[in-house]
Amino acid sequence: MANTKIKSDLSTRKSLTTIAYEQLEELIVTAELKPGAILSESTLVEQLAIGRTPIREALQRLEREGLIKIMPRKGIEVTDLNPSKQLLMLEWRRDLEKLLARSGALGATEEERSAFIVIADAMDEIAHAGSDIAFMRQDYALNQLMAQAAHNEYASRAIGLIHGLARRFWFAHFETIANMPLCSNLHANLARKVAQGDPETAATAVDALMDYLEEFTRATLSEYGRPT
Amino acid sequence: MLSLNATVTSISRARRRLTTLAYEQLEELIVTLKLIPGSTCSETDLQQLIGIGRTPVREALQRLSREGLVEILPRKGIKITEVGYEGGFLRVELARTLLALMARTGAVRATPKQKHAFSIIAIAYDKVAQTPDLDSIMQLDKSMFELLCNACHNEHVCRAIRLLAGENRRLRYIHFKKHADIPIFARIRAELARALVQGDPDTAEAIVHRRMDYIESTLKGETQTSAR
Repeated sequence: MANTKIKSDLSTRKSLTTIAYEQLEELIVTAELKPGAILSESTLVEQLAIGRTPIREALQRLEREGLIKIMPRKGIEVTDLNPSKQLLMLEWRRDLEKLLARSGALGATEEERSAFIVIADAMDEIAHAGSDIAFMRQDYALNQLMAQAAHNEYASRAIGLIHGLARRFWFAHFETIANMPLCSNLHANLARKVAQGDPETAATAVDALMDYLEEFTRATLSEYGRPT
Repeated sequence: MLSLNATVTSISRARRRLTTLAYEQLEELIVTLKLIPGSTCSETDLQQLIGIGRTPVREALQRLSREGLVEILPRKGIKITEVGYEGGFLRVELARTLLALMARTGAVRATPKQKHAFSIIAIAYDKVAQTPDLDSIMQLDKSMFELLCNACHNEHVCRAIRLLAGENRRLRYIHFKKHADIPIFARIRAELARALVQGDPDTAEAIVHRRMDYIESTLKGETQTSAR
């Protein structure tokens, strides 16, 4: 009897956890919940109108992704934006994205290659006259497609761990610092090179994009260094 | 109110410790094949097996499921995953990328204390190379892995590699049961530990690639055997 209950709990909880995760991730990435803010589990349960267990599981995932810190005595803290942590992340993101790009160039299906081209065209258009939101959406789509087209579930799970932090950092700084047309072109170039199927030029396109993101992240350091 | 809060947080800290304990015990049972690949059991079975309650066991199972060692089947219970020979090459591909970076940066960033620990581990590996022992090398591999995670001072890369670590350990356990090559692994590991002590990133990275090449070649043997 008790067993049946546990099992039915397990099956309905999965989707609620994802819903809770997606809502919280967006609130944090777009700074509706600001870095340094302290949250309580019970408040989140009320605000999202989702039960305690799914909220707790979503929070655990967000903690693994580095967006929050669960502190035993103080509650849940939204982590600070930290450019040196971003640089550490880029250090291995470069290697991982190259692995994805090479595998994608070699192993993407025809369908996936067409999807890369669609994103490349969209990114080119954004470079000329695009909105920030349009860019964020295409960027998200490209992340997902890169992770999928490599056909390496382990690598795509690994890259999934950092998308949240990367998205949040970008969203917090792109208005003041980013060169949007250049950045869109670099994304378009990467998508196109993966679609074309040569692993080495795809890896070079990753390098170009990561060089730019590193430069972007370093440029934010002056904002953090400014005395208050 | 305050004291209620304190009670709640001390309970949650105790639970966290229990979750870690549950995780470590279940991981070991799975990695050393005491929980048989492909078998299914209930959450309650596992609670009774290790004598830890429902919530910590459930949290531990979520982590094990992310690491690919169990599959949580709604309505049916917990399945110990089949050994992933097919995913082997994909995992090695990712592990190679991540470990090469960890070795390179670990060689540069290890603190004097960590270097001292690496030198002790190197000596322990020398001993295992002379007197091969399965439990000892599994234990040493775990310490070496944790130390390298700390020494590279990059929490992101550690979180990513942890997604693979459990399944890799299980494969290695199976491998050691079949082959008499513990000394080969132990010697390569001792060399890596020494390169990290010396702070030589190029040598450390080269040793990782040599080790991954060796693992890939043994993996080819495994896939052929299991296909027969």
